[in-house]
Amino acid sequence: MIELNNITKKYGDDNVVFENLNIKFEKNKITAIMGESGCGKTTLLNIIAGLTEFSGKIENLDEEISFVFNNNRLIPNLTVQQNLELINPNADIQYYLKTAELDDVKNFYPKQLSSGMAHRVSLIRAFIFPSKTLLMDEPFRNLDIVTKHKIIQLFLQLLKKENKTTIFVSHNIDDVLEIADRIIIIKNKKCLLNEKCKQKNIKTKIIKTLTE
Amino acid sequence: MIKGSGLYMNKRLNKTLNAILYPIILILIIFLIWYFASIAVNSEFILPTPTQTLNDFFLLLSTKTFWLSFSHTLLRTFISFIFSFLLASVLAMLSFQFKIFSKILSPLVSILRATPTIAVILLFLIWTTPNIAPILISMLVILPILYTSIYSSLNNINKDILEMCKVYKVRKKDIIFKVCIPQVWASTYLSVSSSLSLNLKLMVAAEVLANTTNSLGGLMQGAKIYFEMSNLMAITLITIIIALLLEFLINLANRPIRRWQ
Repeated sequence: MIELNNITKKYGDDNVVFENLNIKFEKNKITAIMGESGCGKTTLLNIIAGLTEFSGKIENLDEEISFVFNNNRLIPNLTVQQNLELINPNADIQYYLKTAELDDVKNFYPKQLSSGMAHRVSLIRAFIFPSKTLLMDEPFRNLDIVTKHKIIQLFLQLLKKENKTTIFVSHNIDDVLEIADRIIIIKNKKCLLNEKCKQKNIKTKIIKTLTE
Repeated sequence: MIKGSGLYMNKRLNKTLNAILYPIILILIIFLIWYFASIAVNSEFILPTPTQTLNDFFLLLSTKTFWLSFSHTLLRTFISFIFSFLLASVLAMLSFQFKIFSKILSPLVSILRATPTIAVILLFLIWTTPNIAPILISMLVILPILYTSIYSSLNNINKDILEMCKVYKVRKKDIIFKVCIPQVWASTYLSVSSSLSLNLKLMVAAEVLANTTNSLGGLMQGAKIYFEMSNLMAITLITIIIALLLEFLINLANRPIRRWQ
């Protein structure tokens, strides 16, 4: 279990994002985080990734973490292949490019890629990095239905090959129920729901918690 | 297929027109205006004709003195530019790393920018020799321009990319050479290329005032003293051509950047 204990995060003196937040993430499972815009979902991922300061404790978290950012963050002056080689030059990049159907664009620069392609590069970058934990910030946002389906399939295929404790943020209940094992809802600076996704009436429960 | 290749040809034609034909037309118009103006003035001591100037231009190219002056001016330009660029880079990096440095340098840069160039020229002419003064003068003028440009580029490095590098534990060496330097260069090369031609213009101006031997400025000063107006125009023409060539070379070196920008 990755345990977040008494996490408090403030921006300045007035803006409290979390106050003594406690969450447990099951290892090797996919956990989705939902909540209203601005409730601190991305901040929570940044806390886990060590990108922002906070008070509290995180236990059983591996040092190596992969992160699929919501804006891809590919290096513009490097080609797709160079972007991946920078992360792990020893990885079998050709295999990943082929799996993601990106081998034709391996010499393209990020600006030459469609958003779906850039998403896939960002996703395989997360998998070529030798980590046990994967964070994803709205990885299926702004994608058309076909591209989204392709990326979800790619994600599940890569995850099957190399299991990782996955924590992802989403606004879409259907995406969450399709791929997540557990769902966490953050509201009013606290964790209000932490349940298995495979159970009856979970959708109603999620909607109720979010809208109440 | 044929339609596609036609479009490609049109694009190529437009590119060629933009790159070659339009500048040639512009140059021809300037020469025509110059020609009619010189006919109207009717004095080779005030405004020589383009033909006279071009004659002197080719005559100049065949003399040893010209090539000696040309090489010395170019060498001085490169020396002052390289030193300014290195110094500006170091100062910008220090300011980026330590905010106290930027606070100290900021007013200094503003003073340097506000100081009249002619005052700098006169002071350095008094303080140093005619060979060194032009180097220091152009350094002092372009240093603040380069510093400001590099410093703002450093501040504009994409923070999201740096965060990504932190998460994926990208090596420091790779962050510097594969992320930071290309990004900084991409946003500074325009000011670098204009600074280089400005540097040459300043160099020639300083050489004129310092009466530097073996220099294009020295040749200009000589032509002015002896009222050799066509010679003066020819040297000016050469200076313009060198400045344009330098800008062209820097733009050529930036072709790979345009592929990803």
